[in-house]
Amino acid sequence: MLFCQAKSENEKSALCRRGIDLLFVVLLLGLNLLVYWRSLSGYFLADDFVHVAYLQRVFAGHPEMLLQNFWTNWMQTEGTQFYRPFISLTLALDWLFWKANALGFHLTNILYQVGSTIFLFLLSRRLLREFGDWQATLCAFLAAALFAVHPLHPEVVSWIIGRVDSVCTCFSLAAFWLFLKGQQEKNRLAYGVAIVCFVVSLISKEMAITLPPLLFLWCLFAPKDEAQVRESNAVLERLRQAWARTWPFWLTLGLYLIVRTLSLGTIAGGYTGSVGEGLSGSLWKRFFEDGGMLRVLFPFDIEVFSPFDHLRRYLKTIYIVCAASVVVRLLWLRADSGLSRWIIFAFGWLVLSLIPTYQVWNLTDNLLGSRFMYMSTAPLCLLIGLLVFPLVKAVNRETLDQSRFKLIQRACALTLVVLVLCYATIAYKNNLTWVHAGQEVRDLREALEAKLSSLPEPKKLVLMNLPQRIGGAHQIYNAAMLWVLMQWPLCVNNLSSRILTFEPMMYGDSELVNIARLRNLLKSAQNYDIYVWDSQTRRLVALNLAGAEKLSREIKLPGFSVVSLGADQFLASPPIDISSMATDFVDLDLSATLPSQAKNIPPYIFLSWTSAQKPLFDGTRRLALPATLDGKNHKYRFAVSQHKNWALTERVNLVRLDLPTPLADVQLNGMTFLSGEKLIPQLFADENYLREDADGVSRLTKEKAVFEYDASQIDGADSFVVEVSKPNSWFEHYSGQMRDQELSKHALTRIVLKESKGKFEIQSRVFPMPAYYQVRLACLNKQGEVIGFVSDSINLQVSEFAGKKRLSGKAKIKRYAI
Amino acid sequence: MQSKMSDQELVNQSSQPPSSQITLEKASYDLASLKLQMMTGFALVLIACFVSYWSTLKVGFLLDDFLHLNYVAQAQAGHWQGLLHNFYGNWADSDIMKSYRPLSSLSFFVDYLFWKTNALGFHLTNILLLFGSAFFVALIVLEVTGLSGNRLGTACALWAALLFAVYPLHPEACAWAIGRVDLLCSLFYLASIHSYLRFRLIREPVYLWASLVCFVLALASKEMAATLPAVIALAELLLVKTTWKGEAKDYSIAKFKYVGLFFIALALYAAFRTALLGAVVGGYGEGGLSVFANSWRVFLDKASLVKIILPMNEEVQFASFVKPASLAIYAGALVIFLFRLVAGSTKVRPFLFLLCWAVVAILPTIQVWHIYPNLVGSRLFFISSAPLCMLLALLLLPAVDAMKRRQAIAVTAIGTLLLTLLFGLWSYELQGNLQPWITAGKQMETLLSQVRTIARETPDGKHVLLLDLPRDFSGAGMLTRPQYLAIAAKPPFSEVDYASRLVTIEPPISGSHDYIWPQNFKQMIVDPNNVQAYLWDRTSGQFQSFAKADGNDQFTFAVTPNNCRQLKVIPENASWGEGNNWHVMSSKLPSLVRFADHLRIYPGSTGVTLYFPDVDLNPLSANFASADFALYDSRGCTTCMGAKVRFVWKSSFAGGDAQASAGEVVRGEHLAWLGRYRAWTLSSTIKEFGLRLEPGEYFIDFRGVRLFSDAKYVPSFVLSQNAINYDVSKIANAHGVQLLVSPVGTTFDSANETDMTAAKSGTAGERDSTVISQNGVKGKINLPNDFSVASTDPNSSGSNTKNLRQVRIVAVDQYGLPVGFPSEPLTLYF
Repeated sequence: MLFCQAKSENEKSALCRRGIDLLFVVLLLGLNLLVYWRSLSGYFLADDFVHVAYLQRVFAGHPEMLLQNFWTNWMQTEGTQFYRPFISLTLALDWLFWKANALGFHLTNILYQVGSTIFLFLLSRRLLREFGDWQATLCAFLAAALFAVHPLHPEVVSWIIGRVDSVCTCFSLAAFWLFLKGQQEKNRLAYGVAIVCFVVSLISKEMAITLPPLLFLWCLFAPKDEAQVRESNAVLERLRQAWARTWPFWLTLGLYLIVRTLSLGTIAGGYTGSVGEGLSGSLWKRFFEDGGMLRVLFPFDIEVFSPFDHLRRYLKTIYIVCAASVVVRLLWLRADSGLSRWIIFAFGWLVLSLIPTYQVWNLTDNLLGSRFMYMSTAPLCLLIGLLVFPLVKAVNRETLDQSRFKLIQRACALTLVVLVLCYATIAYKNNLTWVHAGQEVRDLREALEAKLSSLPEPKKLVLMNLPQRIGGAHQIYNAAMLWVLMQWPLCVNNLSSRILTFEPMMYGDSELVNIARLRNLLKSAQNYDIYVWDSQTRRLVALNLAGAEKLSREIKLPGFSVVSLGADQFLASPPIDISSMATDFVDLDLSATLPSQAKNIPPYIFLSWTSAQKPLFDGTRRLALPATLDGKNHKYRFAVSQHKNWALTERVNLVRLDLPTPLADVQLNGMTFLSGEKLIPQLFADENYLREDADGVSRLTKEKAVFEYDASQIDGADSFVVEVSKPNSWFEHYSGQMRDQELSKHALTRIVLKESKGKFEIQSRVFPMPAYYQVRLACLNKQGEVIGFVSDSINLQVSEFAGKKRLSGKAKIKRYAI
Repeated sequence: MQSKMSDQELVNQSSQPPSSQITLEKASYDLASLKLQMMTGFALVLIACFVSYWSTLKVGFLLDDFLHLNYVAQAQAGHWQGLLHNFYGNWADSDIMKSYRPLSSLSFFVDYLFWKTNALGFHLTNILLLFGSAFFVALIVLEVTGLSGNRLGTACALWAALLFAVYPLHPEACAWAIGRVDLLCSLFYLASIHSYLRFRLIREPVYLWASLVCFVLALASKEMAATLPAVIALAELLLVKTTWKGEAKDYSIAKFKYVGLFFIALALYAAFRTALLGAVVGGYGEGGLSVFANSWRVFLDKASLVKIILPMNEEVQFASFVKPASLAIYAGALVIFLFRLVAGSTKVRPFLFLLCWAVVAILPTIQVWHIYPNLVGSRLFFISSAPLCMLLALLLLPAVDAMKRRQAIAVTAIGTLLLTLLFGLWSYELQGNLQPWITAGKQMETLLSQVRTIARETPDGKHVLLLDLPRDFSGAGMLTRPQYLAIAAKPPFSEVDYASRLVTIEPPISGSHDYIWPQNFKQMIVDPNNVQAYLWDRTSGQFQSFAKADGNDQFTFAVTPNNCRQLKVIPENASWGEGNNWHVMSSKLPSLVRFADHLRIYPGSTGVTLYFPDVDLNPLSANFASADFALYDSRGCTTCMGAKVRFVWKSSFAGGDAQASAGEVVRGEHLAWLGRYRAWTLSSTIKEFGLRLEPGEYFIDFRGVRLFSDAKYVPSFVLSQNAINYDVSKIANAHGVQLLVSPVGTTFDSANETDMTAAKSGTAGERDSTVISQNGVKGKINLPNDFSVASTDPNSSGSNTKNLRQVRIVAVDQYGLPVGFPSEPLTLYF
């Protein structure tokens, strides 16, 4: 005990305590490093690229942009409305020291996580100080250790922009701790710094607005001597006192809301467009139905831990032991009157911290979205600590059987230590997905650099897919991010303009592809080399789509019948050899009878296929349609060409049909592969008015957008309707596919054309604001019903237009941020 | 902080004992009762050892025993050279291992003085050595608990010794005569530790010297003792209390100066041994110190670690309750320990010491650490089993605790019950594990007497051919090497020297037992000097007359639309479909889809085996298989997955299924030199032959299979007057040959199948071998001059394998790359 050599007893104990504090802090740091040291080899991922591009501009002579964040929408983005100027400051600080080296950013992220851990330790100890120094310290340490290794944290720690949550939590906890210090030690300076910390956490993330109610709650729950409440009229007096002690925080919150509303133009903010609409619709489901709440207790990334992983069993056992220890304590140590108050307080804190996430809370089975739980894990860990670790006040302890108390307390501490170790193991493995995700993005960049260096100059590289995610770790999900990745300073040369992509603009189903654009591109195939990124081998695989000949006629496969189809059985076709690019639809004529006992299961037909490169059927090439299996003939149509998996197959060798089993009297009357020439109208952007960029977005070069169309092959068409989407909304977001057979209910406007072939134009004033839009064409019959399918959409970006001066500045790459 | 509090509590308890707690009294030294206690314990442990190992007295000599008996018998006859060599050279002059163990040899010699070739005496000595080790286990526990425990230490010591006496991983060391190297080493190792602890307690220098002497004796028995200084240092750190009031620096010197003596002794030993053997590390192979840097991972082998706590030979039947009962007892021990940790104030240091000791003691086995399912290699854990048994006894009895009286009584009662159960379980497991040794002993007895009878009946100048010498019986080693057979067939183990009448097909230096050289074997079979051939039958444990095989010399099956249905498919519920129409397949069971000229086979998650129709093969002449198939996995056709497809056959030799990998030589042509497998060549007529696809996500397009003679792929040569006459004209694309000569004392006999399944193996440029190249498909290569004294007769060198070499040729194409397979090697003795 190095710290215990001071002379006087008081000094000695103070020094000793400081030494022990230091030891605990070092232990907490060690726990964090144990779980997250691998993150240091991570890379920029997903939204990080938006910030890299932003910082690049800031440090290229626009420092005022950082200040702008204080009175405008965060980074002046479209599609989201956030007020987080401080985050950009922290990123800028990292950039200052590390430039575009991801290591520095990850180091800072770990520091904020360590900071949050330590402040939770200090805060919990202060909250529980009525139980005596030693007990409070141990309980606080165990709670902080749980927080340090909590398996829901990798998203925040290992994703650079995930720091939004750790910065906010770190300063929130610091503010709470300083507030308590100020209150308990009558220290005005601490109180003042607490308010500063609160402000910093507010301008880091909106989640911090829960702090004033939390402080208010504490004032209600604090022991009487700390709450300075007179005996009479206690409740009202407590409320009054609580207000008296927290009003500066409420005031700060009020001021913040005013500033934020003025900056954003709205009081709520968050996600807008079709993304926001999608989120609001499923609140109840996200919270309760999909097992999201259970995942808080069992935070296993399904793609890392199989459902039968032994760690799941271990964790369950530990929880049972924890629950047993709670019961044992309730039976044997009933003298914990003071504790139940703190348990209720911690629970209240947990609920409070969950409220602001109502719009976005969505903890998927691969722990995507676990960042929204970050702040809540602080009260959660404290709650677990308080429930499992028995705390008894010194006064009450004398009435207890000492040895039994000691036995129970040691056993409970041991249980919590085991829980910490179990959490640490899970967190380490969950975190590895982030590390690997970063490494894959780095590999992609290097592979692209290598390919482009050997590609003659006018030729361009078409990248048909992007690594989307590993487990719950995002990678790159739109063209803008790839654009930043392949641009200086992340890439030595600016290569982005030489790479064409087919990804969604902001966010969407990356499995869908705009086949019309791809076919258009292949008309001059000699100018492009087409590749897909193989995530398994981490290399670019060349595709030979040049031979996308037209299907000269419909190809039909013979019929087949089988009396019964048992479990695990499926139908495999005779060998075929067709071009996937030329096939738009696979039609199926089938009758079968589902036995009555299986009728409550919604039946589906699955279509899978193989190619020379992948000669085995696997789960990755699979499409489904709902089936009617009533013994009568039904026709099914798989719209295959809108799926990347199909379109990029090159040549299809075999197909397979999976039907719900057991199934009787299966009669397959035939399968037909056909082109969509006579079913889908064609729509093209006029190059004189619209310039298509590498990301597949056409941008206006003049004051109007002009399109050519051809629906002359569609039989029975009476009129032709052009649909324009709402700003930042995508038609496929609503229906989940590109082959719609009806007009969209979410269109901004429609234009009716009478000719079956020709040109039409859309004036820029039709677009109400600078944003992304989609334009598509549908053929209607006399009854106003869509014939065939609507055309593939053309993506537009409208950034500046004559007549309306609502937007100034140049056209930018639009960003999607959290 | 926690340990500090515990210490304080301990002080309080010992100075002012509260009424409810046990008083930590000084054990009173009543000499009479102490003597009685010691004698009782002594007797109990001795009884436990003898009762457990009584059956091993009849086991006889096995495997390496003969190597060591050879030189002690010669010494007895006046030829001391062999015995003395152990004191200044490699142990028993072994050709596969470098070690220095003179004391073990000496003990063999002493036994031989008394018992001659009667194995009973050797096994008796082994049991006594085991008892000695167990006795020291008890004494060490007494020291450990005496240093930091209470009166329960005596019970703890007795239980530790009893557990050690019946620990089921000991048969390899105890039931095998030469297994005593571990017994001897452990005896002196434990004696050394005990003497040291005694010395540190009562400060009599004689104990220190005794400890050092025991250490040196342990080292002279086996190198495993090298960890002793580290264990003593651990004891100093964790067990021995040193009161010191001076400077911290001096304190360290005082504490560790005695340990230093052991390290000095070790260094001297290492220098001495290095000077004698010419290698620092020794053991198996020549890796040197660099081996250690990467091989620590072998200790993480899960199966071996499980064997430590569930020590059961997997080739022996045990009752089903053993495993759950053992686990329950261990769990009970853990619960008791955790309870003691949280309830009382258990001292953790003795546990730490024993745990570290157990780990440190296996470190020298880094080259070879592995306990096989049949417990081969379990002797490597012998020393570590001592701290393990001590640890278990300490875990279950509160000998180093201060706790409340009622708790102490409860823990002791439960602990004793669990220890009794564990003792019973281990005794049962031990008897099970000893069974293979007893059977092996009986079979060896039959074997040797049969060999003597057969040899006696063989005319002079003629030979009897012994095929497939038994290697082991469920982990109990038997014979394997022709060298040992030769020793056993000579006086004093046999009344007359029959060795020259015995010929075997075993490789001169042990390799894998699964393979054979078919050409060599065929020559032996047709050699008129070999009047009779016998094959060892494992099930009856006897040599049976070997009947030459008959059947067809070749076989062809080419897929046609009609003959597919004649295939016998296992599992029978595999689905069949027509390739040119829709068909039903299963995602789990195998599926076979028939096309005009091939059969597409999906193995599913069960795998599939196809047996071809009308097979009747002579394994000696049809000993090469070629299958025509292409394999497709999820990434298209690959060449690296051939191991998923195997040739299978029913072998009368193996008593059932046997298999060989189909290695791809040319795309689509998968070859296997089936003749290389004992299970093929030593079979009588082969009536069932097929193809097995392992489960997995792939399929093959199978077109056909052929079986034929190996002459088209394997070159042959003749040795005449120090020159090699070769002819590789039958081998496609051959342009010339390379002659490979192995370094002195080594052979090409492979230990694995890689060089039998692919011509591309490393054989053509084998490490350290001499390569002589020559163009032309027929010709003569002169051997180096020093080969003129060589002979192909193994008896010419007195079965000494140190001076042999092997030669073989491999055909090469115009670019010098190997084609076909390398020839069989020819062994030359100098």
